[in-house]
Amino acid sequence: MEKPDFSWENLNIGMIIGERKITLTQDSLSNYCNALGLQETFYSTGSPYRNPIAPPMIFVNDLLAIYDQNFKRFGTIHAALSYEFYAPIFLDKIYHQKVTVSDLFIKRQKGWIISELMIRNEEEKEVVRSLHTSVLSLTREHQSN
Amino acid sequence: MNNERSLNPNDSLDSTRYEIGHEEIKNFNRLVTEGKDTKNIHTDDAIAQKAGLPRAVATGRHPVCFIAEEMTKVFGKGFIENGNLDVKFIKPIFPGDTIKIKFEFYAKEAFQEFEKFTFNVSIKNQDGETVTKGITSGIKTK
Repeated sequence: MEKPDFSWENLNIGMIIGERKITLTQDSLSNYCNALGLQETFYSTGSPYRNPIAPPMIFVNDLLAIYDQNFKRFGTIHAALSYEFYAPIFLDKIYHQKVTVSDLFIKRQKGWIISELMIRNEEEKEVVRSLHTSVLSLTREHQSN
Repeated sequence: MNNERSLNPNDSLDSTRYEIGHEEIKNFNRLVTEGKDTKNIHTDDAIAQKAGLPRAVATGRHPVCFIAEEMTKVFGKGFIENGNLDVKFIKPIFPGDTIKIKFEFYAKEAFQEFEKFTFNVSIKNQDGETVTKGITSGIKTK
């Protein structure tokens, strides 16, 4: 089935965009640290926990990735971003991610969307909650591979 | 991460500076495209212009990772388990920009048996223009 466009008409408040389970690996940690020029040892051997952890922002792209699994999205301009961190993120553990539409509104003749990413660990404890505020006015002509 | 810095009331954190060049933007783009090089508003001027931008821009999320990184270094578990950040993107960051992240003390308050420190955080480009601003907080034991 063809994915719907990421557009005002196809979204509504409270809509669950998608859910998935993800396991972070040592490669996930390395890729993140390499992309940002960070020292990996900080998380792999210097962790204040008994085991290696991931940086709190390791899920920085996962909200958009879940949108991309379920919608045709060709570019998103963020206006605001917030994160709340509740628990360490361990490697080789399963995390449940859920993306929901928190709000939709029109301001300055543009459509705006606030999306929530909630991440829970295997014990169903909340680990990270993130809200992304972005513009909804881009079209498919704005991005190509 | 085990070198959590002691903080005094009214302490601001050290400013940090980062170069956001084409290579840094490409590296971040690969992170979000599973290692692939793709053309989009962050990596291609023509596509960015179609979207109404003057040229390619860095993703706003990119430097936000640096804010969290600094807070993790300073607060350790106090950020990992009780941290937050909330920012607005004011202006784009362009390839070649040098950004400076500044953490200015805003408030200290009791949080259970701990102390919560809140900072105004701003990201400015090399011309002194604010590109991102907001708040971030973490907790420390008394």
